[in-house]
Amino acid sequence: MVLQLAGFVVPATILVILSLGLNLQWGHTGLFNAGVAAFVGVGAYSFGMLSTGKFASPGVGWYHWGPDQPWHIVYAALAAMVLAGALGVLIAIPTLRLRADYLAIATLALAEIVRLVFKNERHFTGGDQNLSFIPRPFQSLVPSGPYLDGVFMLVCVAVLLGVFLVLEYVTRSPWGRNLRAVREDEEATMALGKDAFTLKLTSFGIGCAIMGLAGALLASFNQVIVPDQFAPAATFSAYVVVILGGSGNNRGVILGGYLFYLFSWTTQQVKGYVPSDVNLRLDYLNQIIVGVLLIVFILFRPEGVLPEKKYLPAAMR
Amino acid sequence: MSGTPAAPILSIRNVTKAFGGLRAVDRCTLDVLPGRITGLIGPNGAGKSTLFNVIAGLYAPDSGQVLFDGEQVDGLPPHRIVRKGLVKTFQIPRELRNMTVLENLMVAAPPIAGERIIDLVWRPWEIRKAEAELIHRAEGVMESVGLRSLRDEYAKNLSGGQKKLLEIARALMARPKLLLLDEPVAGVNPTLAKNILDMIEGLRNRGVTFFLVEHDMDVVMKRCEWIIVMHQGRRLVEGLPEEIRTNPTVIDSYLGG
Amino acid sequence: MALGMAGRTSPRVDRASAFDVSTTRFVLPRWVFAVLLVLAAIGVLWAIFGKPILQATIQGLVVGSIYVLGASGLSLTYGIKKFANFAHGDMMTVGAYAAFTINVIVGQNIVLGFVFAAITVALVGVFLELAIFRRLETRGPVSALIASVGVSLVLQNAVSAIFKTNVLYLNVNPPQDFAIGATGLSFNAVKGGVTLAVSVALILFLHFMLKYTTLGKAMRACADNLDLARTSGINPRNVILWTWIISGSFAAVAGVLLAVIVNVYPLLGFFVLLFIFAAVIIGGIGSPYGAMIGGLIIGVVQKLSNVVFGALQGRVLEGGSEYEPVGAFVVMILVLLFMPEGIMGVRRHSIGGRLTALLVRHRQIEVKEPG
Repeated sequence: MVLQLAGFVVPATILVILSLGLNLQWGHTGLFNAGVAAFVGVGAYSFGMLSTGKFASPGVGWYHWGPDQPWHIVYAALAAMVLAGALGVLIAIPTLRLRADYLAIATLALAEIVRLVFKNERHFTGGDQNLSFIPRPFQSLVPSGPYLDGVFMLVCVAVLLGVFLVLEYVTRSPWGRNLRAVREDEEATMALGKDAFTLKLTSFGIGCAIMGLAGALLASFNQVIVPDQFAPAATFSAYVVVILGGSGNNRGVILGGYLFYLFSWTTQQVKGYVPSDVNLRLDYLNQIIVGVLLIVFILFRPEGVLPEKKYLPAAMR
Repeated sequence: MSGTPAAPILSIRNVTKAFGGLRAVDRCTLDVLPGRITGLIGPNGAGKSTLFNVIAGLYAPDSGQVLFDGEQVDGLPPHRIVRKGLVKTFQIPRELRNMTVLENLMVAAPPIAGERIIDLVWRPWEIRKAEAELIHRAEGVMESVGLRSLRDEYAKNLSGGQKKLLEIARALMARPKLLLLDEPVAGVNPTLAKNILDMIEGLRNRGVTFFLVEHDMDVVMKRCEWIIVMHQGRRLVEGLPEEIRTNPTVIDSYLGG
Repeated sequence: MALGMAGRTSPRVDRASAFDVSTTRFVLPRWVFAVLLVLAAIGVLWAIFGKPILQATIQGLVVGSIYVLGASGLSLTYGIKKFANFAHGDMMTVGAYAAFTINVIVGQNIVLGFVFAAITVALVGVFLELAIFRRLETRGPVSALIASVGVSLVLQNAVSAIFKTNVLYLNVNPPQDFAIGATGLSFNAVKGGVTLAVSVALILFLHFMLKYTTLGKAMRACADNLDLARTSGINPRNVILWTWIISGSFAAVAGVLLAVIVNVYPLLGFFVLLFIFAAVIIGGIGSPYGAMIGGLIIGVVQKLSNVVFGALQGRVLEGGSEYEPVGAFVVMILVLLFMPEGIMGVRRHSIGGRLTALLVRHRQIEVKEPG
């Protein structure tokens, strides 16, 4: 039972967390980052490599680092965030001045390059070999199985809560207000005295760091990294969640994320009860419905399932 | 006006700005003296808006210099120029649509605690206080322009005239020393126009310098203390309203172009 | 009171120069410069890597001509509707499957397959315009982009649901590659020859249509300035529909040609989408002529990258030809950063100014029109 629940809650929460990161970039600042999957991947790989202490070498696959111990999980996760954020800043510096659709294409191309590097450079990431035995939090205290999964579920939700609270604080602050101004009209915001470029850069970096954190959680949950799992599909899902939830609305993204995952998860469950040739088609039907939802929401309800509340500054509440 | 010559608050020295071979501003040189309302007029295509954009930092000049309060500002990014006290409004109001009037004004103010990420981490308690003061000041400005009742309204829901007022209110929040107004009363009903112009004069009395582009000759002649005429990208003549009104070169430029 | 100089009779207009160097009298069109650059690169690489480079160039031109068809269609809709249609690749896929239906299921000639595919995708395009994209005109370019992502999802999965995801084969029997005389290079009459022939024919058709027919001129006018076109008596609604029809047909033909080479599967078009975007961006959005140059350049760069990365395998990098897309992507990103208007676009800064803009972080690359 716990296993079932964890099997739903954990991936859903991870999706919500990375969507919150995207929400900061796209919903609050208007930056169309189409390379989400790459940042999640960087976070996952960093976490995996640091927490297992494994570093690949050409022709051999994985081997343990020398005398050093593998890093503690928390430090590995922090490092994952920093590395993902740093990659984000690196990519952002030349590309942020591009307008939204050009930025989408540029980040898509860059993410694709990153994915190819992950997949092929064995001496760096292990290439097409799996990185396994990634630790779970508290795994020395709690036996594997339902208990450990249950613990992980709680850890996940706690992380989500933390990320949510931090994001809420940050977006209701003057900094967050300036971000929304940049989203509305960047040139006007500059004419009002705000440094739009730095605002965009920090927002992008923080968003990528959050995606990295989601990647670390993913690696820890699966305890293995399969090289090809960071395909563009993750980016898709994140955008669906953000659009459904209402761009800019963190609560909406959380609600939208769980609803969306529920929908996907239900499809998977239904598969067991249905004749096998319908079975395959179910996945396609699921995706078609997602596509239609996306179109319908963009057309008729761009503000998402929950409307964006007027942001009362902290001093007013 | 007093007889003591003051140093210009704004100096344009030989500024050129071309777009693809067409020189919108062509080796333009002019000065704006502080403490008065100066008008900038000229036929369409004379380069007035482009010059304003260059001064405000939205464009970098191809050559020449812009000096504000003795400091060179050409080539600086717009947000740094604004912080020095040189503020420009847009001809067609560019309100921040999905934000409230209050938020629009708060964004326009000089930086407070909480605008940099560092502040959020190190000094969260200062932010609440700074915001409260900011809101108080913003409400004061809203009051003086007459937008107080629309404080929590989304800017996209304002009428055309109200958006113009918002544009001016935002400029005031930035604590300007020199305010560049691009057609402040274009398309605005006469009563509102009078209010805006009275407000401008009131601010001038409190030390704000105004440099405005306006096509309504009535307004220009009655309200401006000094007029600079631009033609084909450079300064043609300048002088008191009565002198400009009857100057044959000016009349020619409008007719000939 | 100083008197300024009396105005001249007309403002001085400097001659536009490709390099913005005011002393240059000689005007080199940018596309010529780009072609020369590519030829130079081919030359250098040939010296280093030998014959495979020439073979790659031939392949590149073939694949590039498919990109040309795809990119022209995309450029047309991008130019007139002002958004990036992420479903364009999937429209190519639909074309391929439509041709498969006629060619294999119904058993007709492949030429009929081309025609049926073109009609099908043209209708899809019209439907999408009327149902979705028309309503998003007042919103920004990103809304339509996201909607097109939704359309892409629907098309891909509809095709998978109907036809399943196995690779399907068109009923076309291409002859063996034949060797070109003594050079040792090979070329395929159908995969290479027909592709090039069809592409060239369609591009010529597009060129004549745009230049000489009323519809063509109307399309150019609408892409340039919609309001001005409207006041000149053009009905943009119809022009837009015709644009989708042409764009869709071209996408369909491109899809079928591609399927002849790599066979039919659901992600056929999606895989080439980024390359087609690259071609459009390099050539200049809204310029079908730019798309022509861009498509060929991207195709050639892609195949050259194949050879170069293949040779680097094991020495610097481990992945070899897996990195095939990287060359094209890098070129696209460089163009986006330094010359976002593309080869045929209207330039706003000189390259030197653009470099400065990149380093001095506060400058915007997209500058508004002068007031």
